[in-house]
Amino acid sequence: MMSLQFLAEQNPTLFLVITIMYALFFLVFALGGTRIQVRVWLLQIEDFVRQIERWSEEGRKIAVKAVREFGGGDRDVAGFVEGLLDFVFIEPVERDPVGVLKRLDHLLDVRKGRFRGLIEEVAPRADGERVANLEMVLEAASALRQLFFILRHYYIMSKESGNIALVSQMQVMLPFFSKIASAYREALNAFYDGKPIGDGAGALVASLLVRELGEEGGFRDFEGELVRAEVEYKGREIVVLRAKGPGGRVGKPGDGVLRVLKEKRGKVKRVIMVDAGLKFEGEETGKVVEGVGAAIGGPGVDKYKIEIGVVEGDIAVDAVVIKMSLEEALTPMKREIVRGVKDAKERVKGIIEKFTSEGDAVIVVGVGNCIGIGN
Amino acid sequence: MERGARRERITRLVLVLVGVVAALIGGYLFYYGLTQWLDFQRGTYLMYSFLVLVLLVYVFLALPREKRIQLTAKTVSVLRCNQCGAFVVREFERGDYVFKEEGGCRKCGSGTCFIEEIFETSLRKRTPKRRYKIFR
Repeated sequence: MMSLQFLAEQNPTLFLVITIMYALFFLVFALGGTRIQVRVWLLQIEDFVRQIERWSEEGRKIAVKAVREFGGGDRDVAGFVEGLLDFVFIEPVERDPVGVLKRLDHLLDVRKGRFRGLIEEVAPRADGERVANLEMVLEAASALRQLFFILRHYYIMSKESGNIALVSQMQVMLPFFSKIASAYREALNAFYDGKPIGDGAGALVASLLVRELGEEGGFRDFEGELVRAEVEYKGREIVVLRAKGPGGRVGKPGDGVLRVLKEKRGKVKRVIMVDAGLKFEGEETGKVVEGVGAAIGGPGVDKYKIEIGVVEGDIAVDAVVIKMSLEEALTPMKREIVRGVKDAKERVKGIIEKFTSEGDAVIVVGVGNCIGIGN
Repeated sequence: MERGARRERITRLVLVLVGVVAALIGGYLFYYGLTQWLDFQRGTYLMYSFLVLVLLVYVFLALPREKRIQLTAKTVSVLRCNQCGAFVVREFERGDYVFKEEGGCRKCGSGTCFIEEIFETSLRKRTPKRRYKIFR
């Protein structure tokens, strides 16, 4: 206080300026503090949305480039890709839940057939494996674009309302959206190059198991996009299923398991499912955990089929899960995951030895996207 | 988002201007404060310059920034001979896939090389996050 009095006496003009500045400072922050905060948050959100827009555009360009490599030359590839990226899928009505998974399964089949047919039409020089990879590139680019549309929608809505609660909710979620978007962006590049991704860990376990117990390339075509191998391990008959590689396919393991169960008629004593699973933050990547249940993601159709099959036949179902984050599941396979794959293979052998007897049949399902992983 | 881009440029310019003005005022107050004879006068002016510095930091933090993505990892293919077990690590090439046959082995001459593993390896040496260690 003493100093201010002294200042007022010595330099009244400067004292007045400082006093007005103080008054203005308090007025601005007391009356418009919330508005300033909202503006700052909106700037941050806008910056983020613009970044996702750039990534989405980058994804579209990669998709066009990928399709052009196998194109016929006379087609408008850019327009075609634009159409595919905006392709919509309408989920079946859930108000009448009876048979909803059957309807979903049918609609997913129709979508896949249409999508693949369109790609084959615009990229006639691509073989089956390339078509599968192109499909993955387009799926990732489409996911990135959808994310951009959703974020822009909520950004504009919250900006128009000017409501601090709405804006803050979006601002709080930015780190999570950022993780999802960067995962898709990385996935896009991995799919374009045909690199194996973390999600393919289950399929890699299946292949390593067949190579160790049987001969190389023991897989043959089976149901849909699946391949099947039969090997023997300590007197047990092991049927190994996975999607066909090295193209980006996941197949329909549910149909495969049901068909094997029907073929073997009560001989199957155990179904062992190996898949990549989401880890919690702070958990080790590539850690292998065991459990019970149908370890398979996706819309739930295959999970339902496997559960129905094992319940009808009173068969135990084991899960071997290789832990990783969402980004690691969609980006090129990390070394830790490769180590986890080897550990998971040993765990599968351990389950077979411990819980089955000689003469039993066991189904081992390697679940996951087989991009970059040969049979 | 075209209109938004223009507005962002304007906001950025305004924030930079506010920052420059704040820096000039802060610098002047700091200098004026240091040249005062009396201790309490010096303290007052230095306090004002500190307040302006806080405003400067706030302006700097509010500036929209572009995130730069750096190349932190590369993918490698590990080739192994099925006869002698010799292995070669090379950078991933487009068209590589796990279990792909990659011709004869250069070391033993009789075996065939297969791609045994493809994985991503970090280019930076990562230090483990210490804060999680206590929970493990």
